[in-house]
Amino acid sequence: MEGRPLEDAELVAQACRGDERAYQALLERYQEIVFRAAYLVVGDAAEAEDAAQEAFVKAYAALGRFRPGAQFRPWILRIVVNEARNRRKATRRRASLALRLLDERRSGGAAPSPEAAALADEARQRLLAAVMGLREEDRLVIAHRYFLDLSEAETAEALGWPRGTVKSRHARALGRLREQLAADEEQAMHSGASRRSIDG
Amino acid sequence: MAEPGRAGSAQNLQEALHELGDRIAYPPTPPIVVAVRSRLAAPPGARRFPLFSLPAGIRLACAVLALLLVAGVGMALSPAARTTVAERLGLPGIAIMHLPALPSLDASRAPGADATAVGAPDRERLGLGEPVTLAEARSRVAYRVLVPTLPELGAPDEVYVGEPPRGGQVALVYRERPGVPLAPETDIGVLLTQFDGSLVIGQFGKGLGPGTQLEGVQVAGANGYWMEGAPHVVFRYQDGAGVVRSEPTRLAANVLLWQRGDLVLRLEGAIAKDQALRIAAWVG
Repeated sequence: MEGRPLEDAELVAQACRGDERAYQALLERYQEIVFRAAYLVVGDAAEAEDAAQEAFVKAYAALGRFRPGAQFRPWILRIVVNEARNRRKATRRRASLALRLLDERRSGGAAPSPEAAALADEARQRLLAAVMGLREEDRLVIAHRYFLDLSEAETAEALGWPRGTVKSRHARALGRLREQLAADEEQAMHSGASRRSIDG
Repeated sequence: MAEPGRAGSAQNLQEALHELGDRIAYPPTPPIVVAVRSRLAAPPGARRFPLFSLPAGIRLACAVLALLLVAGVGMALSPAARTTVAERLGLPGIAIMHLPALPSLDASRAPGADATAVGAPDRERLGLGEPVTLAEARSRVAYRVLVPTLPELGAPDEVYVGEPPRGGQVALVYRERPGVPLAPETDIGVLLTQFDGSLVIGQFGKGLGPGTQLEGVQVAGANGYWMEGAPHVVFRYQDGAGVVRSEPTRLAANVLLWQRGDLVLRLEGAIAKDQALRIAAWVG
C-alpha cells in the first residue's frame, strides 16, 4: 500500500494542472468508498449519490487548496461526510437511518452449522442495532474505523477532528457498545427466551 | 463471528465490528464518475441542466440517445464513411468523432458544385447552407454578422447562410492566401461560422484522443477553446430557446471556438493557434 499515496499525490498534481484523466482516475478509485461513506451518514442511496457527486465536484474546485503531502482519500471523505451530514440535517431524517446486513446463509469458516449461523446473524443484528443507537459522533468513528477500514489518522482527517478526539470518541463508542450488548444479553436471558450465543 | 456480547474484550468487539462492516448491504455504487464528468463539463450556469435531475434510467436512455444523435451527425457529414465511422462521446461539452477521412474533392462526388458560389465544389458536403452575399446574409439573420477586419485576410470569398442552428448560421469562407494554407481535403483556407447561442462546453476536454489537445484561451476577454489535432469535433450549445443541441465542426482542421455576446463563433483551418487568435481578435 506504500505506492498508493504517492500515486494519488501524482494524480492530484496532474489534475491540478488540468489533466482531466488524472482526476477521473481519482474518481474511479474512490467513488465506491465515497458513496459508501455518504450512505453510512444518510442511509439513502439517492441522497448518498447526490452527496458523492457534490463532493467530487467541490473537491475538483478545491484542488488548488489541497495540501501537498496530504492524502487524497481522507480529504475527499471529509468533503463527502460534511456534505452528507448537511444533507441529513436538512432533510431531518435523523431518526430513520437504518442499515441492512447482507443475507449470507452460506457458511463461512466461523459458522459450522445452520444454528450457529443463525446465532451469528442474530449477534450481528444486535451489534448493528447497538452501533446505530450510538450518538452521531461515536457512530461516525465506528463507521470510519471499521466499516470503511480507515486508520485512526485517516479517520481524524476525514472527520476533521483532532486525533485525540477520535481516540477518545473511539474508546467511548466501544465502551457504549459493550454496555449495550451486555444489557441486550441480560434482557434476553431474563426474558427466558434467550438463545445464547456460542462462546465456547 | 467474534462474539461481541459475551466477550468483554476490546479485541473481540473490534473483530466483530470489522466483520459487521464486511456484511453491510450497501446499495450498488452508482456511476458517479459519469455524472461528475458531465457536471464538470458544463459551465457554471448550465450545471443544473435538468437532465442530471432525472432518474438514473432516464439519464441512461438520454445518454444512449445522445450517442445515437452524435453518430447520426457523423453520418450526415460523411455518408461515405457510414460503415466505418467510429465515434467517441466525451463530455457534454465536446465529443470527438474519428472519421477515417473526409470524401475527396473529386468533382464527380460533389453534386452541389453547380449550386454553390464561384466554382466552389465542396460546400454542400460541408453543410454550409445557401450561398449568398454578405449583405444578404446580414438581412437574413436577426443578429449582427461579425466579420474579421484583419487587413491581410481581406474580405471573405464566399458567404453562406444555413439552418440549423436555429436562427441561422452564417459561414464565411476564405480560400488559400498568403499565410493561410488549405485545410486538408478542401479548397478552403479558413472558415468562420457564427450563430446565436451559448456554448455548453467545459474545461474538461474529455474525449480528445491521443495527439489532440484542448486548451482554454482568451479571445478579446471572452473564454474560448483551442482544439488541435482532432479529426472532427462536435460541440454543444444552447440555442435561443434554451435547448441544448450539437453542432459539428466542418473541416478536419484546428478549431478556435469562442463565445462573443450572444454569438457562438468558430474558426476552422490548418492554421496555428496564434494566427487563429489574431484573426479572432480582429472579428468585429
